[in-house]
Amino acid sequence: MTEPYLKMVEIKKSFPGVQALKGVSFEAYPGEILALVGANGAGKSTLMNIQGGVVHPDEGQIIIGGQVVIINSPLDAARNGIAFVHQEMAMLPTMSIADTMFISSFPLKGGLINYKETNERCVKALRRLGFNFDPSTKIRNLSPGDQQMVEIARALLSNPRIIIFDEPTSSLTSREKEQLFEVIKNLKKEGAVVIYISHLLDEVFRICDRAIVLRNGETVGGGFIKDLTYDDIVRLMIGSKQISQYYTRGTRSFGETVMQVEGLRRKWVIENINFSLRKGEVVGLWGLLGSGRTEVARAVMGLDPIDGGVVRINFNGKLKAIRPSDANHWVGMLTENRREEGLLLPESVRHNMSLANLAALTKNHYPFIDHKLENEQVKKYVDKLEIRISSPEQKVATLSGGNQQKVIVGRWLQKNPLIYIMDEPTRGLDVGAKADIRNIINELAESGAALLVISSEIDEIMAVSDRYLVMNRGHIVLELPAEATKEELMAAAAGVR
Amino acid sequence: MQSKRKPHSTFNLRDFFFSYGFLIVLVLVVIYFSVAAPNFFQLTTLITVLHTGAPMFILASGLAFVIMTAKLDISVGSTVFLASAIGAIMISRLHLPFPVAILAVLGVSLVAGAINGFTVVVLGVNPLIATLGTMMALRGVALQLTNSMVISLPQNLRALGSLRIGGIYVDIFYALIILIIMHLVHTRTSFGRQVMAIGNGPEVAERLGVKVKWVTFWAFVLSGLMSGVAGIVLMLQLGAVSPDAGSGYEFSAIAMLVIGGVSLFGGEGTIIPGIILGGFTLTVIQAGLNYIGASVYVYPFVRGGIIFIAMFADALKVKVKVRVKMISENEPILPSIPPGI
Repeated sequence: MTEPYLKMVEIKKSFPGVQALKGVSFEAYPGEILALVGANGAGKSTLMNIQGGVVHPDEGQIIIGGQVVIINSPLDAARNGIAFVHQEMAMLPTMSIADTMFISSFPLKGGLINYKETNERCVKALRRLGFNFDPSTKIRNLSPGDQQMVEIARALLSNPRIIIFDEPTSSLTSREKEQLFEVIKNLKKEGAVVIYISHLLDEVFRICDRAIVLRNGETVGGGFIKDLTYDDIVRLMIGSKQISQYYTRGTRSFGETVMQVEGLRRKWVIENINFSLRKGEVVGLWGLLGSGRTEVARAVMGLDPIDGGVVRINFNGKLKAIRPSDANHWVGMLTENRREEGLLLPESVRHNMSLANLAALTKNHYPFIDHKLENEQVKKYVDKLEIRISSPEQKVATLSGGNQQKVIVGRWLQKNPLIYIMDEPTRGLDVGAKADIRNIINELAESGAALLVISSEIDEIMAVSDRYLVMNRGHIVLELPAEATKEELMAAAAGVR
Repeated sequence: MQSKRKPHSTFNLRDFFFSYGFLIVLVLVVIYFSVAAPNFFQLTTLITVLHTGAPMFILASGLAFVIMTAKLDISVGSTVFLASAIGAIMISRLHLPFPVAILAVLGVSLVAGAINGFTVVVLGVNPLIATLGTMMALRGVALQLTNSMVISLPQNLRALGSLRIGGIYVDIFYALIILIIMHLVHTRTSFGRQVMAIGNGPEVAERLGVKVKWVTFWAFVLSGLMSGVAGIVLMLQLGAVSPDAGSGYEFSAIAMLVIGGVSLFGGEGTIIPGIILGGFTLTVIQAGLNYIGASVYVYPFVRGGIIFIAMFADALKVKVKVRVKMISENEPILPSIPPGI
């Protein structure tokens, strides 16, 4: 290969609280497909957002075609010949394909849109990808795969030299995927620099020439795909540091099944989800970003409509199907976004903790809240969970992340459900708070609750789980015992059998 | 690797129902009144219906742009009053030439629209509240200016309002011309298309390079401007400006738009034929109830019912809207691994 067309030199970027990139460098050559691989939070997205002009680096240089360039906006990126095919498509469902592709760049004629030219260019761009749509077709009448092609066609309108694909296959069927790979190979033949971001290794091995692996904001290795094996990449993704001591926990005995999920499906999102939770057991639901973990939790809790499947809960030894919308009577849920979905931030700790338990609190003087009982309950769980607050009237917004999370746990403890679903319970917490939450999870399990814990941090999930369910593309693809290794988990999530 | 797929047909039954479901209602309504009142379906009825409806059609064609961005402007009725009051005062009391008064009316309505746009876009006030504020404030200003009195226009201008060309009132032509212009703005300008894009989702539009705030601002300005034009037509039609001019117009216009397929959730609808169909349905029902001799108190009830049904149908549409989907159903559970690894 010749000179590198794109060079990223020592790119650094920190967000409040995290150093997302600690000096990443790489080079990309024309006519090659470069894979950018890494686990959740490795810094792939940040790196590519820097290239796309969405995020500005703190330090480092971007060199394109031998020139140092400064990319301050998506427009700058386009001017430098960079196009970005996002994982999240930007589609206008009520509008036509032509409108969606040209919305900010219509060819004009006498002040009006020249639809003849628009449509011609639209058809030409889609033909280049091997598609033959009527440009006036509404986006909402296209399948997700076809929408993805519109997205790609739009990215290619400006004839970019550097094309970044961010998880482009997540909405495609296998046939559509083949078509996309053809398109990418053609771009390569035309001499473009293609950067392919994915955590699905089989795709990387299918089409990429070279891979770079990121971990914790650093480039940890890479090389030509033909010199690498799946194992090499998985090992680079998770690092050589081995399982540490804090994973030790007592062996537990599990009781009867308290919750059983069967055939749960939501069209396009999750498919045929089967699992059961036993008394005293912590089940880790593990998968990479976008694999459908949160969606499973939401479907079980009745927060999203489902297209099929049953959730059964154990009532006095008998499993009975429940309506999904009633799940919150028996299942305590910690949501992924505690600030948005879990808490009333401007309200007091007391109010937040009583929220799920108002039925019990109003029993004595219905419909009024028994304040004495409420204060007792709040105090009990504040003490039990060691929530650090000045008074129960303190506003939740002023608490640290860990204490906020404990307030939610305290809320559910009052209600004392048998089953908990915890989605990213330790996200954004400091080390001490993480350990506290882990302890709470263990205590809950020991007291006989069944827990489903979701985390994108493999260390977190390994610290608490008695069993793993591994998700990939909306399916539970594997069940692993507590003894599973990091490599096994990562490989399963990345789609390696 | 040419795709074997046939080009998609442009016609789609669901799209048709989404946009013109009320066309069926209109046809049923016309049939009903034609049977109930045999002399109902006549050309003169049609012309009268269109004549009285003309200001409404103009008003709605501007308001449509705001609603298509999924925002709301309920100050349009008051803008009609303020603009026409200022016009009438300039003509009748200050004896200024007619064209000058017209320019002033348009200027005032532009400013009213710009105030709404500024409040919503720059100050970030909820559009319903912002325009509720201007709705009350502008009416107050106009009442102050007119002392709550009816201001009549001079005789020569009054004749202008009931002018007919070939038996058809001239304001029907005004309304038609403006609807055509607005239709072109909606379908054939970047502004019109970007308004629709914002209605699909401001974040998505922003990502696609649409200047969301700027376009939204101009949608409000356009809505204000069309209220002013509607005010001029109304003023000429009635030959006077009364203190209740334009009151309740905002709701009739919104009803007209929703019946005509413009979704309150944004991004959906057409000027032609949407507004024409919506306006027809509403005015035909009013005229029809008159013809069959229904009590005048029945009309608000029927109109309320129709607005309710239209809004409910609109809400139903959103429920069945296709979401952008994540994964596909016919995906194999695990992708295959190439041999040799």
